[in-house]
Amino acid sequence: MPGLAVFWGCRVLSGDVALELSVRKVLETLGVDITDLEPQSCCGEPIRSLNLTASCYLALRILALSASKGYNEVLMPCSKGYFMANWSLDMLSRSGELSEAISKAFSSEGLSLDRLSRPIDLVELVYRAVGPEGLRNKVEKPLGLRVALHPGCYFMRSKPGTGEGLRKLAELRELLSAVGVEAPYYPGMMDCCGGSLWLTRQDAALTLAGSKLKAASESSLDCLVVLCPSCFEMLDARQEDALSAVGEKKGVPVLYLPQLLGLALGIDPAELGLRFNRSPVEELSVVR
Amino acid sequence: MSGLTDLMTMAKPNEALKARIIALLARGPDMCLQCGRCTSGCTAFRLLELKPHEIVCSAKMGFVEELVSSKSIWDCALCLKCAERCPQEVSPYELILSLRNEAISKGLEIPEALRDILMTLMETGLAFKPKKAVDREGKAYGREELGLPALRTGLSEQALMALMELLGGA
Ligand code: SF4
Ligand code: SF4
Repeated sequence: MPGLAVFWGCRVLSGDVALELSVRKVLETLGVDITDLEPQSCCGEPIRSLNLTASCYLALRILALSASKGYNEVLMPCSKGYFMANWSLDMLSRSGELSEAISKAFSSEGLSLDRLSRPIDLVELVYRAVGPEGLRNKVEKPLGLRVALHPGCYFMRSKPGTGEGLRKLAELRELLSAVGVEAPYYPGMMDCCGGSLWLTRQDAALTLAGSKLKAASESSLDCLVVLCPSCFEMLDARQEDALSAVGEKKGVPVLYLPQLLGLALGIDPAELGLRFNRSPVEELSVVR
Repeated sequence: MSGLTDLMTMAKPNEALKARIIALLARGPDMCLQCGRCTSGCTAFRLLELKPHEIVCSAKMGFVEELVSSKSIWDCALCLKCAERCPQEVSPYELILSLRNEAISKGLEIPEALRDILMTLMETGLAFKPKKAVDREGKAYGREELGLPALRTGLSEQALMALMELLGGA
């Protein structure tokens, strides 16, 4: 496999280091090499409401830039970036008008729509690189947790209408079970955290995040596990506001998937960036 | 189609505007059979009574002006459940985004958060400015302190130009 590029995205670069630290550590421990794609730029997700063509341009430009540097694949640990890449490719395959506009926008940099890296997410990468068995063999500390998994809209529905989401979810559950984590269904599991709604309707967005936290509490599972920095922002960073939006007080520990995997691999919690989680992660004995 | 009149508002369909709004969409409204699956699973329906099947229906018939100026298009959570559930490969999600694009280009509405993002994007090539990471005790860390490599960020001058052109000089 030629080198794998990694695109972190704005949310990670604007201070959400918990995801970056934990992804880097976990992949290092699993022996998977990644190279930072440079320069890193916006994936277009936040400006979809403004201009579809411009947002698809930004997403596809990342794939083209990565391909121009010789990478066949680019890892996108942020679900929103991963979704933008997949959705732009879908838009491109169906709209001649879009590909014309984007080819034109690409021309001044010598980029081409014929050479695009393939986007992959963390679950696919870990599944392919080591698989559930390989992961199980590297576990130092089986976690014995039952978690409220929040797959999130952009992981579950990165290719809407194709059944891809359920397949990805099954792989994710296999990986979790390899590290001693059970992720049973709970009411509201597939629901949205309100991350995108935050831009236009903040109160409603907090109600969504709060309902998610409440559902996780009521299911008496050990913690919430998220994949996407936008979900993390709503459920961890804004947890207090989200809880008060639904009249709840009890905090819920929120972990990133790679933080959870890292704990099972025996990586020191400090190296997984757990001090950057705002939610009460110390309630989990595996963190202490 | 042009013979239609909405008897509630006496509005006439605007086929030219409809064509522009659905031109780019991978999954436009025309195949919709009004089954209502989108609305029955819609995140914003439960919360804010958004009815994506009605939006799709109006768009399909060409009553798009009302949609562009409606407040409800801004209620969508962009959760993609509608696109996932639709049996006809229609994506209400894409349609709503395109309606928002039109509303913004007409100057009818631009959410403040979006305005900030656009400014940051033009300035830095990122939607959110690179910041130090702050831990739960309020202590800030630079990337080097965390053992993270310095990363170059931003858009090239050519990319910025291309982006501005696509945005119509916004
Ligand atoms: S689910 Fe699809 S076909 Fe059914 S009403 Fe919604 S858009 Fe129309
Ligand atoms: S994306 Fe579709 S399902 Fe989700 S809130 Fe918007 S209209 Fe409703």
